[in-house]
Amino acid sequence: MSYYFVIISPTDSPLFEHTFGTSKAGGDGVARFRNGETSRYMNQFIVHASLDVVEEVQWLNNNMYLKHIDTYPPTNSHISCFLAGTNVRFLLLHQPSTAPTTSSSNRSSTISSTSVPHNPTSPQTEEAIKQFMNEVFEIWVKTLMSPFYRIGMHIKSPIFRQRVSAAGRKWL
Amino acid sequence: MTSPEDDVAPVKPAPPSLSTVIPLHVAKTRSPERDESPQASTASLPLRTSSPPASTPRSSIGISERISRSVSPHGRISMSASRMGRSSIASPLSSYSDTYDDTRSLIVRSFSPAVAIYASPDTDEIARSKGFKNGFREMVRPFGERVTGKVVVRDSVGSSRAWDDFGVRFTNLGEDFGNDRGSMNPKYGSPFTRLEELLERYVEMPSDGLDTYSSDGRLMRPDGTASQMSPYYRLFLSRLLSATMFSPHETFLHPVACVIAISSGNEAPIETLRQLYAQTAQGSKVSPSFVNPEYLRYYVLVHDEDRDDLSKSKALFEQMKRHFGIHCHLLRLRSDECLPSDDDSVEVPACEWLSPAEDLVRLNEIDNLIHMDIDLSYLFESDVTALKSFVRELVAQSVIPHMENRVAFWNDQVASRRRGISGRFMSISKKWTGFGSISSRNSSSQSGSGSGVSGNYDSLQGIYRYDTPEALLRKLADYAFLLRDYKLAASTYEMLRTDYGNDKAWKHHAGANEMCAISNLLNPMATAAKTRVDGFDQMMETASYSYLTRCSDPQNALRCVVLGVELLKVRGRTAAETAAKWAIRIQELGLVGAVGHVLVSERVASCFAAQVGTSSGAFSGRKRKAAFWSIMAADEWFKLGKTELAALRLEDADAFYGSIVSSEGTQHFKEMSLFLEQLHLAINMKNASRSRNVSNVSNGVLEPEEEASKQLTEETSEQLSAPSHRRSMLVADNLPNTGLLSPGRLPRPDPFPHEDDDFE
Repeated sequence: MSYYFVIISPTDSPLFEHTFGTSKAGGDGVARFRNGETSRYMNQFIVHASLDVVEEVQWLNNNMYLKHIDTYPPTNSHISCFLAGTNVRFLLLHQPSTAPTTSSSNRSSTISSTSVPHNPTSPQTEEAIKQFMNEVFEIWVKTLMSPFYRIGMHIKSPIFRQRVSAAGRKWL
Repeated sequence: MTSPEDDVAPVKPAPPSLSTVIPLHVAKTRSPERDESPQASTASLPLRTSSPPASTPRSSIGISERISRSVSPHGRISMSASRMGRSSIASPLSSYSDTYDDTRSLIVRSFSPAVAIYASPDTDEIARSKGFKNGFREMVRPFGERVTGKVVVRDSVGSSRAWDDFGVRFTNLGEDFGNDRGSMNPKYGSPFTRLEELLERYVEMPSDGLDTYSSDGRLMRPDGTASQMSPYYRLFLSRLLSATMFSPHETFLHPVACVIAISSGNEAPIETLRQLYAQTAQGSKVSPSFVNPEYLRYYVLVHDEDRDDLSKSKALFEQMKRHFGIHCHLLRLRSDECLPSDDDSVEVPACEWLSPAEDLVRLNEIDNLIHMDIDLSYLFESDVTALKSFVRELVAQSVIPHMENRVAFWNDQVASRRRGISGRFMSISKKWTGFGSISSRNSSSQSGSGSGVSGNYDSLQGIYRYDTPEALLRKLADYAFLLRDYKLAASTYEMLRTDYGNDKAWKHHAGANEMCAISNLLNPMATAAKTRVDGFDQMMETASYSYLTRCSDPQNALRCVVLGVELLKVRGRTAAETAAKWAIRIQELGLVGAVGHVLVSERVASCFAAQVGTSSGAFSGRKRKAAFWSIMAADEWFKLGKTELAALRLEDADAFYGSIVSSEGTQHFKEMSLFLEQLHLAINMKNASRSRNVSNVSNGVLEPEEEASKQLTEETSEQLSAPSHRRSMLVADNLPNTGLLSPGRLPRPDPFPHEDDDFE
């Protein structure tokens, strides 16, 4: 599973972007998107396009975590969303690895069929992403409290990035 | 609004939202000789049909108009059409209902009754002497595609409806009987691959080739509205719909009637007619066991005006009438070949519903004969009038009454019994064994009836015999569908779905599901009442799965999904969402090739765009998605080398992005905007260099398009960020003046390799 996490401002500009791979089931934490190099802009397109759905779903749901909201079938990408204050949106694009059964050995395939790395819509994944989002939200709030940060600014803090990737390692 | 030429809107009780006023603008570029309406001949027909004179000339010119009218040079199209793209976004409601009528009419017209032609050799000889080397059928075929005047059809509840775009499909009798069973046919799937081949041919053609062929200014309308259906997609759709193969699981291609034709040159006319009839009944032309052989026989005497005596022919015709009853026609034709230089020559309209294979053959012929001007054939005006009135009489007085009759009969005898007992199959099949005549079938159906399986299905061959209730019901449903009585058709397909499923007749099952969904979607009454999108979704799912996985029949799967997408697209938010999902599914399942892939991408974009109009103010609809898919389409067009089309799609995308309020657009997504800029730049460069080549050829005259694109190029390159900046500026400056670079080359290769997109 490969992940692309982005925080998007109310005016659709990205405040923070982070690309990482799974660390569960022997993953090394490096993103391997199936569309290779094009994923750099394709992921942005996909996430940007799913804002349409976010804008619709956010009025139908009382929770901050909107769960899995959109898919992009050609690359098998799934998008989950978390709404933070002031209409800042956390979007996580997750893409299961290309061939889940061939890459994993017999031993792990029996276990991992329902675990996080392979099934993007399973309840386990939803739960893991929820934990991840909550943790990132916490870090984000702390970052906002910095006297040098103004709302709408790009988040450049290396500490923030470090913590987000730590959260990613922990949950996804 | 319908386009003026080909969709003279059917008189239908349109749903209120779609019932826009249809302005009767008769096309203005009509050549005078086509104005001749065949009123004189149709007026003499018995007034079963009310044919207002006003509609006759209009519909009669439809086909030839489409072919002969060409559009302005392509550079100009792309400029103005893109402007229209924006206007269509501004008022999406008007534009989508417009294209919906267009699409709907195309779909409705593509399902037309098949009339087989069985002509005696001497009749074919007359046609050959007139320049139709494939005989009588080739001559009448274009005239069958649109019957002159209104055709009145009574539906099952007895209400009449007049259609002025009714048509029939002339086939050669027995031509398809050989390769009947789709799954056992060695040539299986070939129309499907040919479709892709054909699309590639069209795309590779210089763009004016397509414009004259089928676009007919679709991107550019006189009234300023834009159609979102690209000419290529329209072509794709119509060729896909006419690529249908003769198959046991649906009866659309099974003959409804057979025209048995002899000519006045025949020595023993009555004897020949008998022989021909005998051939259709038990001879070489006998239909396979799944085709209902009780089709109508229609006898035609072709009188040769140039060689034979009319009084003799009239006497013979009288004799024919006595023998064969009312289903006879005397067709008076001249046997001399008509030259374009003749006074009263009329161009023969081209066929609209060519199958991909036929179209390829046609294109090859055009390629071979590029220097000679014998592409179009001509007929005398009197012949055209005679053929038109023949087709009209055939359809209005024989074919349609016959079909209505069968529908009423089967509805009464088969369907209503089924409905009354509602699912208790056992008693039904017992009742039916008394009715039928084949004893072997009786025993098998009784033995199988216990388990809810009718046993009528021959699983070895994958067919139902024509006289089993299942086959008759399917025939009934198909007839009702062809007569555009979608309510009856839908309810019958609904019934069949379960039957076929019980029998594990998978292809039939898929077909029934497909047609059930489509006829429900086509039924104008069901629009408001029940928009159960889930139901359609389910049916499409079953149909495509059965077609593809169980029967490995990608062509029918593609047809099913494409039709579903087209018809679902306009049914509000959720339906459009489903349509988009299915359109993407087409790509996922790999049902289309490279060109088809782009066309489908465009379609996805327009599915999302359609939702923009239906959404209320609070939501922005699906603008970002529409823009995204437009960009994908642009990228793919660009890779195929069609930069004009790519530029159009990009314009669309920009318009979509621009229309999102409360958004700063895409500029802050770094890679994304970089990609967009590069795509813009590359496309503009190519366009600029192309129009420069064109203008160089035409004596170096600078055309306004080039100026525009040159300007555009420079503007774009100025916005570029540091690394690409210098080089592209250099190129943009050099390009119009010295042309240091080869014009085809891109200024800067895209940094990201496109080939490994891996969309499948």
